[in-house]
Amino acid sequence: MTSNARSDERIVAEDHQFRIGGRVEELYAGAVHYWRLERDKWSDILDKVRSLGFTAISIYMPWEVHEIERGKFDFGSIDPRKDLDAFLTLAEAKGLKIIARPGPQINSELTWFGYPLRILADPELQAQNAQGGRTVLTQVPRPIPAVSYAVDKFFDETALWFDAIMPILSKHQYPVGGLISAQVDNEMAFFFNINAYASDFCPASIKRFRAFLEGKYGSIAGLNAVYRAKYASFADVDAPRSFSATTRTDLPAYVDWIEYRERYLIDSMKRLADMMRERGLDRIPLFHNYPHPLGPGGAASGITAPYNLMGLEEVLDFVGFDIYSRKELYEHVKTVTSYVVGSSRFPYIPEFIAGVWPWYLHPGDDKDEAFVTRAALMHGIKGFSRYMLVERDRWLASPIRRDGRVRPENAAVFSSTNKVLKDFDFKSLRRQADVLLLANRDYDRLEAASVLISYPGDFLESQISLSEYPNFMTTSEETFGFAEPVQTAKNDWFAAFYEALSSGGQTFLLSDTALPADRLPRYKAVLLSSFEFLGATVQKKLLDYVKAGGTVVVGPKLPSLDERFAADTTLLDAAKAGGSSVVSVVNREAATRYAIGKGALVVVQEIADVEAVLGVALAGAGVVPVRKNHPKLDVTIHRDPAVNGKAVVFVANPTAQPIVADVGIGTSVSKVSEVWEGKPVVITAAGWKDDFAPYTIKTYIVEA
Amino acid sequence: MLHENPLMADIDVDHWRNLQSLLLESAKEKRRIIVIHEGGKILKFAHSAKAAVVRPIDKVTDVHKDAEAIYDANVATTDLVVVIERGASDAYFKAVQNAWTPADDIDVYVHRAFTLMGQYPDGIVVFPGPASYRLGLQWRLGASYAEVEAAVHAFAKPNSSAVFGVFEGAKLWTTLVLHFDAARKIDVVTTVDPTEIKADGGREAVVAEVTEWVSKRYGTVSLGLYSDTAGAERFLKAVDKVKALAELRRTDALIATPLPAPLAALIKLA
Repeated sequence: MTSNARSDERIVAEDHQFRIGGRVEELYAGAVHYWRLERDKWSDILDKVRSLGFTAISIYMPWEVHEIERGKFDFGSIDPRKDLDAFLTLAEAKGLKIIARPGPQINSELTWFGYPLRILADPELQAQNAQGGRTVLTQVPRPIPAVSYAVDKFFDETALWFDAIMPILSKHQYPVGGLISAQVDNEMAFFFNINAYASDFCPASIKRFRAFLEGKYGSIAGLNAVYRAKYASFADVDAPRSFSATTRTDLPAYVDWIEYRERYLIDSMKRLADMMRERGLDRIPLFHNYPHPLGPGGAASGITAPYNLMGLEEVLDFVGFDIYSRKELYEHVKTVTSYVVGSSRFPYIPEFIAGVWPWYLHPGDDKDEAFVTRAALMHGIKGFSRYMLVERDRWLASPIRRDGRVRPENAAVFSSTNKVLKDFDFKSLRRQADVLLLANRDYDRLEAASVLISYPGDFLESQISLSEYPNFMTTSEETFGFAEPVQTAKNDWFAAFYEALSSGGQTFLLSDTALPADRLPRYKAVLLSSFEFLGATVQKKLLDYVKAGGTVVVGPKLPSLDERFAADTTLLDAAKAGGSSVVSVVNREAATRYAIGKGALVVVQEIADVEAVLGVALAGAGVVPVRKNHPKLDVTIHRDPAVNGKAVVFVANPTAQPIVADVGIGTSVSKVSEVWEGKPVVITAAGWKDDFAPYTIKTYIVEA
Repeated sequence: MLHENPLMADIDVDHWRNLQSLLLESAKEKRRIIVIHEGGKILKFAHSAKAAVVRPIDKVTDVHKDAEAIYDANVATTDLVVVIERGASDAYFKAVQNAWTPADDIDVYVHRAFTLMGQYPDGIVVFPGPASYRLGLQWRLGASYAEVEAAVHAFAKPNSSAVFGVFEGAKLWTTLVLHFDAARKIDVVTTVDPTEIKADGGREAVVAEVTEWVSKRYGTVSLGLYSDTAGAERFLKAVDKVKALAELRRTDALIATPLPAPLAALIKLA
C-alpha cells in the first residue's frame, strides 16, 4: 500500500518485519507529547529517550490543541510548544525515527478527546444509539458524545485539519526525514460503545448499512430469501435495535448488523487513510490500533467483533492492539499478543503500557511492566511504542518525568529490554508455533448480536457494572433450535482448547476464521469449535488444508449448515467419504478421526475429552510439545532462520507461587544461558532447571 | 466541582493506588448474580464468577422481594444481586445520555446518572440496595454529592490548595492535593511527590514540609488534614464529619494545619 518510493528506500511491513530499503528495522518506540512539555526541555528529554535504547518516538498531533478557530491553526507561531516541525526536526537530529499519530481522534486524555469542541457539539456529527439519542462516552474530565464516522461532514471537517498538518508531516517522510510510519485515527471502536446496540444508528449510518446489505445480497429478493422477510426495497430495512431472536431464521438480520459494524470501522479507516495518502503521506506504512480488549479472564472474546484485524489489513499496512495490563492478567496479554502475532503482517503494539492514566484502577508498578513486556515478547511481538515514555498531564508513572527527571526503576525496565532485544537480534527471530487455534468470527458475531441489554462506553465503570464486551452475563441463553446456545458454548470450547494447548506444552498461536487460506499450511494442526453451522468459506478452506496434509481438530460436531443456515455439508461429506477411526482415551471412544486426502479431521464430542484427544491428535500430526514439569509454566521457542542449532526460549511462571521449573524443547542441549539476569543454569539430560519466583519470565539462549 | 481542564500531573503511583483503595468501591469487583428479564420473563440468570446459583424464582413477579430471595438463597457466594428489566434499562440509558451537555464535568454527569437511576426503582434493582448506591464505581466519602459540594463552598478558599494525607508510621501512605480556582472549581488534582519530602522528624515535620512544598508548587495551602489509616477510615465512614474530626483531634489522631476559621470553629464546638 505504500508507493512512490524507490526500492532502496521503500518501507514495508510484512512477514513480521518492518523493513526500510530491505533492511530489517528495530521498531522500539516510545511516546512523547511535545505540546505538553516546556520547549526548553525537549532536547534533554529526547536525549534521555535515546539513552534508554529507543529507536523511535511515537507522537500524537492534537487537532484540539492546534486549532485556534475553524480552519486556522497554531503550529508554533503563538505557542512555541506547538511547533511540531521544530520538534520533528529535533528528533531527527537526535537520530530518532518518528511515528506520527495525527488523529483526527487521539484521546490522550485530552478534555475533548482530540477534537475541537465544535466537532463534538455539532448534532449533525453525533453518533446515535438504538433509541435514536446521542451516544455519550463517560470519560474524564468531560463525558463526550461519540462522533459518527458515517457522516460525510465529519470527513469534510477532518480535511481541514489534514490540509494543515499533512504538509508538515510529508516533508519529514523518510528518506528526507525520519518519519517512517503513521497511525490512522486512534482506537476506533465506536468510542468504546462496543455493545452492538449502543452505536451507530444515525441516519447516515443506517444508509450505509442498507448499502452494505445490498452489496452482500445483491438484491432485496436475495435478502428476503435469507431473512424470510418481504421487504419491498432496502430502504425499508432497518437495523436491529435490540435482540429478540428466538429461531435461527431470525439470526441473519442481527448478525449482519454486527458484520456491518466491522465494515463501518474498516471503511472509515480506509477513508481517512486515503485522505492522508492523497495529502502526501504516501511513502510510509499506515496502521491502526484497536483498543485493549480487557475481557473477563483471558479475553476469549474481544479480539474479534467489532474488530476485524485482517479485514482492516486489506486497507492498511498493519494493525495492532494496545495493551495496558498487569502481571495477574498474563492470560490477557498472551491472548491478545498471540492473536496479533497469528494474524497481523507485522505484530506491533501501538500503545504498550508505560505508566497509566489517572482513572486506571489498581495501577501496577515497574515489576508489572517488566513482566508484561516479557510476556508480549515471548509470544512474538516484534515492535512496540511504549505509552507514555515521557510523563505529562493526565498520565503517571512513566520512566521519564515531564521535567526530564528519570524514574530509575521504571527506566531500568525499558533500557534493559531494549538492550536485550538488540544484543540478541530479536527482530530476526521467528516464533515457532505448530498449532493454530481459531476464534470463530461467525460465532463471535452471534455472541455480539445476542446481548440482552445495551449501554454506552465508560472509562470508569458502567452504571450497571457490566463489561461493554459481550459475555456470559449479558448474552441470550436461547438455543435457536440448536443443541446448545452456540453464542456461549463456543467460549467454553475455545477455553478448553486454549487450556489444553497451554497445559500440554503445545506451541500455538491464535487467529480467527477470517485468516486467509494460504496462511493455514504454516501450521501442522488447526483447532476451532464447530457446531451445527460453520461458514461456507471456512468449511472450504479447512477442507483444502486437510486434503493438503493438515490436521484439523473440531468439537463438538461437524456442521451441516453454513453461516446463513442453509444446507452445507462440505466437511460432513468429506468425512463420510474418507476412512474413519475411533480415538480412544482410557478405553472410551472420545473422538472420531477422518482420513481426508493427505491429512485428518478429528471431531471431539465432549469438552471433557479435549485435553486427552488433543494429545493423541497432535502427536499424530507430528507436533512435539515442549517438556515442562508444571502445567502452569508457559514456554515459547524462537529461532533465527539464519542460525542453526540455537534457540531463544522464554519460560514464564505466571502464577502467584514459586515454581522450580524443569523444561526441555525436544533436543539435547550443550549450553543454556539466561539473558536477563545472567545467572548460571543447571543443564539436565533433557533440558534445564531453574527457579522461578512468582510472576517471573526468563529468556534462555539454548544451544544444541 | 471539576474544572474543564484540570491539571493532573506529577502523580505518585503508590500514593494514587493507595488513595483509590481508600476512596473507591467498584461493584464490578463484587460477586454478583445478574438477572435480566423482560416483563417478568427471565432471560439471564448468571453468577459473575460462574459459581453455581440457587434459583428460588422462575419469573420476576415482585422484583424487590425476588432480589432479596435470590440473595438469601445464595448469600454464601454472593455480594450483590442485580435485577434488570430490558425496557427499563434502555429507557434509563437513553435518559442518561440525552441529558448530557458540553458543560457537564464528570462528577456532574455521573452524579446525575445515578440520580436518574432512582427514577427506575423497579427496572434496575439491587439487593442489598439501593441500586444507585451499590452499582458502578462509587466514592466512599460517607457524604452525599450535595454535602461534598457544600463543604467545598464552605471551607475551600478560592485560589488556594487543600492537602489530605494518611500516614503509615511516620511516612505518608497516600496524599491528595487539590487546587481551587477563583470559582472554587478544582483545577489541579495530584499527590505530593514523596521523593521531594525529606523531613524525618515525625509527622508534624513532614506536614510542615508538605505544606511548604504544595504552597510553592500549586498555591497557598488553606486546608490540610492528616491522619493515619484507621483515622482516615473512621472519618470516611462517619456521617457527622465535623464530630469525627473533633474526635480524631481529641485522640491525637489528627493533624489539621492549616485550618480555615469556619471549620476550626465547628470542630471546637463539636
